[in-house]
Amino acid sequence: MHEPHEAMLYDQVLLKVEHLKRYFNTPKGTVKAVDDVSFNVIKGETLALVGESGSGKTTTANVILGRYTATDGSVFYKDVEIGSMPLTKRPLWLRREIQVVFQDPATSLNPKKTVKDIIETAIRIHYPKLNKYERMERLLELLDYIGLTEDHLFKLPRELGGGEKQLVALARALATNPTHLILDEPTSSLDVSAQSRILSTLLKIQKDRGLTYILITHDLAVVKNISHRINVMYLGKIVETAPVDDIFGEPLHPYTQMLLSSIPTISEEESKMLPKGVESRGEIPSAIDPPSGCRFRTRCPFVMDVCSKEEPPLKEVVTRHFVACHLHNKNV
Amino acid sequence: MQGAGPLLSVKNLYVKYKSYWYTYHVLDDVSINVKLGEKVGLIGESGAGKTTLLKSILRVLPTQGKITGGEIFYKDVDLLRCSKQRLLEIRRKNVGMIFQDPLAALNPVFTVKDQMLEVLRYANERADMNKSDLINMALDLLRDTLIPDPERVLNSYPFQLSGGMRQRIVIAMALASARELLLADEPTTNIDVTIQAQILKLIGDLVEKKGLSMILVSHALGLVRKMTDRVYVMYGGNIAEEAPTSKLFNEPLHPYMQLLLKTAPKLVESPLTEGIKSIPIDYRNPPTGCVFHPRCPYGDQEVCRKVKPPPIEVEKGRFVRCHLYGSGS
Repeated sequence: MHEPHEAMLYDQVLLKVEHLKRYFNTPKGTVKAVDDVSFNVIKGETLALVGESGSGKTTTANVILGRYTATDGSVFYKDVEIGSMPLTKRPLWLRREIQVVFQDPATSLNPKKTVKDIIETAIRIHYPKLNKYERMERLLELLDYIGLTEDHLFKLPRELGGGEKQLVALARALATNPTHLILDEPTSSLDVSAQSRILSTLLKIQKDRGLTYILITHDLAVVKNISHRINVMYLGKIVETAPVDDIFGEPLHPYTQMLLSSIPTISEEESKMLPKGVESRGEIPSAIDPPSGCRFRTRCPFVMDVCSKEEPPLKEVVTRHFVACHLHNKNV
Repeated sequence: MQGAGPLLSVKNLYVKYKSYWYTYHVLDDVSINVKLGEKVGLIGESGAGKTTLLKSILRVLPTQGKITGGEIFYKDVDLLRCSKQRLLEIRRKNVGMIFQDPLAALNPVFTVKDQMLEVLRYANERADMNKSDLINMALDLLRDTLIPDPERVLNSYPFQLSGGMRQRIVIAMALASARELLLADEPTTNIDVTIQAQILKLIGDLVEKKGLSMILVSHALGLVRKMTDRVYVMYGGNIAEEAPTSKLFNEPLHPYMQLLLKTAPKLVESPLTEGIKSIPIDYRNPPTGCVFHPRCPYGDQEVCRKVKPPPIEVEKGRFVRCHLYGSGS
């Protein structure tokens, strides 16, 4: 964790997700991509959504962004219900305030447009009253802030390195002055050498502008470096929620332990930090017909009788540390 | 790993890609060798020439890629000059390659069975082989790679299987022809960490069990650290450093490797750095002298700009191409 946690006010909720469900109908059956998920996002924090592909993290983000509407449940942003509001129906102020940075800048930036065009379009749409000189001024200010220079203005994405491309994508998101940024795997398509530049820029932006982030990733080293709290998701459910240090210090859910022990490390120091004994096995089952009871039971080394019968509730075990597991659900 | 000459040796290899207008100097004086039973890693960022090197070894470069100098020896066979027949035989029976993207490596319109049997048929040219033998071999390979319900998987099309499953099939197919050397090109990119851990353990176990040598290409540092004995660090079509894995990660010598390790996001408490200045290399006209000098914190010296550093043996088995470790002059 990168700064004192207490600095954030736990009662200042910016985004509230309540019993969110998102199902997709397919010829084979209904895919329950997100199945009854509730969490809060606190103003100014970075909340990480972690889990394997198929765990529902991107679907959750897409509902918040308005690319999908919720099948059931609700999403409140500053007390406005946005879960059932598709992107096209959203007012401009809302689109301005919630922005997104996608995984691969090579595909999220138009290859035929220059850096100037890419960022200016966002400014023009959201601030139509500015004339072209004011737009340019704003653009340069933004580039400078993000660590790019005027030299980049008339370059095409292919002329930039991976890290710089992602910075342009980030600048485009910032062009509208958002309050809430969704980062969908912002570093996973980048080389190691470029990753830390993006991460430190993200930290700087958050510090200066008080932005709230939702970070979707499967790279736990990234999570460790920039987030405050973690939601671990598995097959459409949240299985553990806790501040970063608690997750890394004392992971409670066997799935979290499995995730952590799977990280390849680059020094002895790091290896010592990770839990041993929960070796990764099996694959995430189909979300069409998830296992009964606890959804993780098919891969869990500690599986018990009760696991197949009852679904474990998400319970607060230590302060702010919630876990959904029968191992920690004894004192019902 | 004891005694004997290297299983594979690449010496002073130069590879160029030619387009209508430009020539791209992609590999520039690359030498590596792999001993019997050794696991060698190849680290470098995208565009460093890692895949080009592997493809040159198998001679499967795209048509605009030309090997313009150097030599590649597999045991005592000169891969650049041997007959087509000999080359095919080596590809079929000795060396297997795991390609990067499992979905692209598998043909979407054939079943797993069709594709595996084809590989197996060529890998085992014997008169007494009939189809049921081959199917049994395919099933064995699938079982080796810990695929549940191999009969069903064998009759599936690639799109019906999950990413982890497809990757296992690609590994199984590579193993069918890898009797001695396995080339693994980013075997676990785009795969979840949990599945990645499983696949790596699997590759590690199989390589151990079958006594294979391996070249593992990756830009993921942790992965290379875990899986290999010795590492080559590539940068801009050059081998920047060569060292035993543990030494490289404890005490990197080349400034590029030092920066990489320093800037990688870590789990232990450490401040994030600004990263390395990212300047994509223009292979049409690569930097003179040391290719890394435009990004190197020590690269402002004249010698770096003008003279290409030769490999310097710092200690036994550790080479570095950097003027900081001068030849004592």
